[in-house]
Amino acid sequence: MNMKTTFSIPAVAAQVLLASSLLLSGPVAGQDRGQIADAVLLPMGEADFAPDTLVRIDAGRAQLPGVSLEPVSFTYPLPAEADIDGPGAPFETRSREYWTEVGGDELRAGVVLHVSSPRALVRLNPAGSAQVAGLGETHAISPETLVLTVDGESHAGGTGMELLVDAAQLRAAGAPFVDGTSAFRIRGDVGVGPLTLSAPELRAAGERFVIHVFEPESELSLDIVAGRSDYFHGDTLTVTADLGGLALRRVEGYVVSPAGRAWPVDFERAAEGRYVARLQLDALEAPGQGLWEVHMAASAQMDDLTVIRNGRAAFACHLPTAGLTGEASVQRRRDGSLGATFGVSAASGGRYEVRGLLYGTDGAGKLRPMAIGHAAAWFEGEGRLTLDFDGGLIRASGLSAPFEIRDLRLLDQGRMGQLHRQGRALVIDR
Amino acid sequence: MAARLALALFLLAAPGAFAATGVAFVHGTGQQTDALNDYWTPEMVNSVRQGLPNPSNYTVVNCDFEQYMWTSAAAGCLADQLTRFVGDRGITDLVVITHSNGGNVMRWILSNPTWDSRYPDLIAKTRWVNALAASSKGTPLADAVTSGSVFEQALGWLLGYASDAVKMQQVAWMAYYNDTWLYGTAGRPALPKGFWNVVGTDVETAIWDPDSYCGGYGLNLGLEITQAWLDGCSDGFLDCSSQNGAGSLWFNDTSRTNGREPLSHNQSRRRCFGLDVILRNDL
Repeated sequence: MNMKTTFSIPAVAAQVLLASSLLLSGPVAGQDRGQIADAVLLPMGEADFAPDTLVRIDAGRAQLPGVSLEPVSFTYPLPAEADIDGPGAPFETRSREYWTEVGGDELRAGVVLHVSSPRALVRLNPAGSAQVAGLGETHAISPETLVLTVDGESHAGGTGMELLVDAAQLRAAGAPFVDGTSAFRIRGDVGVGPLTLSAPELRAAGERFVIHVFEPESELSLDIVAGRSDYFHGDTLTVTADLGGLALRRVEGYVVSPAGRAWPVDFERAAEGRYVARLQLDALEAPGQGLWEVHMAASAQMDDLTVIRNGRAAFACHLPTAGLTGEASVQRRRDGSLGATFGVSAASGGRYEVRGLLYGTDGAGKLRPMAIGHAAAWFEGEGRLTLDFDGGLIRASGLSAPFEIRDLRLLDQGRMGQLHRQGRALVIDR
Repeated sequence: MAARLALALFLLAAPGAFAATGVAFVHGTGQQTDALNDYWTPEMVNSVRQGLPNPSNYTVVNCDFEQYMWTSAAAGCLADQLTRFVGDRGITDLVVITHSNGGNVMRWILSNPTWDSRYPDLIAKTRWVNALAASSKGTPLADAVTSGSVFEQALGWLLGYASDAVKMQQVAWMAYYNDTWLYGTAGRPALPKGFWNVVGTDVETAIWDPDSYCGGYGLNLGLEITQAWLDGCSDGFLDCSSQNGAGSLWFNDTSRTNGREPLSHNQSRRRCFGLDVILRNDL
């Protein structure tokens, strides 16, 4: 058990003082101008990104109903000992499952499931017209009515299975499985290999069903990862997949956008048993509806076992509606506060935010986190956004110049776009 | 205990010693219109709010958390209801109790203070968030639920095979959002306010054990098989690593609950094993 600390108390004070200190397309308001120095952003690092060209979307404000128009800024202190990393590597998904869609008549007669490891979980749900008509529950299959046949030996009435859960029990758990989903686990003594699953009592022979097979104990996963977490419209997506280095007997996939548009992709064999697919991305669609995904289905032969896997990986693809101009200025005011202003060029109307971390130098000469600043406003064309750091906050930190702005980001809030990310952005000598 | 005592003394000595404390209950995934009865139960809420100097200073949020966390139906609705609550009741010291995906929606507000001009004031008034079984790093169950709809891509998603909120809670999706739009996970900047996790570590479904019935035996039964998609430590819906994936650990269930009972995902929003008293005493 941890004790709750009082870290939140100074954060309150800092944000109250700073909540209205936005500078947008104009000079600093107020009397205390102090010193203003022009600056330019540091060169981009290897992991940094920014768009090469911008896209103009005429719809602008009409396309983004409900997006706030008010300028807002917010700054709060960070603990100097905070361990803040750079951007994370793209997330690699690991799938130990596959699914297949079958007709009711097929399921009644018997469907072959390829199981490559013990204690696989099997999940069934009605699909197709039954779901369309809201009859998922009506066509649910109770696991006790299923028959598992392995090497000519049949297991009926729930034998050969454990953890049998019908649709009502699974729904009561609150897990949002599709209506009519039931599940069971194959007993460990049933074995592996091709198993036949049949539903001899099934009456809805004309319906469709989806059968999922999940093998949590399998050592073979289909690992899929996008080359980057963030792409821009027009970029070429690279996806790498690996099923334990096995040569794939079947491999197919497609990329699907947040709006549901899909493009098939071809996976080609690459080094070390991996498979790679590429696709030039077209992100001209309605904004703000989640991530893109690449879906993949693969099968391979491992000795006398067939291994089947479906998997997918997620990534973002942004419309480059705005970018940082590279111009910046730093204001050091007599009250000790510090402002860092960044030029923004917005080809499309939108609500844009700059956020960045302020680092300061400790007594040993080491740069440490001090605060995080955010500033956002709606605009189109050339503008500026200022991260303002209160003098009291800087003094309380015990840190001093030289300062740095790190992890600088430009975000398109209305379109959920991350348009600029830079690990080291600005050095402030004094 | 010393740190929490120090905080209490600080509050007593500070100019805000007469702070009006309030508590807000924020539900998880789902579109709620009566979360008091349908999600939390009056027994839970009424017990917790007895810890307030004025037990009337509470609100139970009802929003559409089937949507992405950033939408006006989700974070916008939450900000609406919290703003109205603190305004109407004069709340200056707000404790937010979230369950499951409600933690993500609240974390969205804390992590994106410039998204909406109401957010800074809400953050200022928030003392801390008590995040019950937060899905901070998503859940493999969301991946499982979403799987298979690919065969009927256009149709399946329209049919609600997986709501936007469920898609968002896929593990890979939350990894992306944690790395970009959200704070509080390892390697990312801290949140502006404390985000204290209560972690459910197991599900008990023994039919002879009355503890299995707290919150509803049927609710727990399905969670036994859903555990199969999860790590060895889970509440039947979320891995412990997800529940403690952002912010700080307050406690693992068995370290504080009566009889050292674990809290399943459905029990962590109910009056089970003294959880209500722990939350009450935190106010």
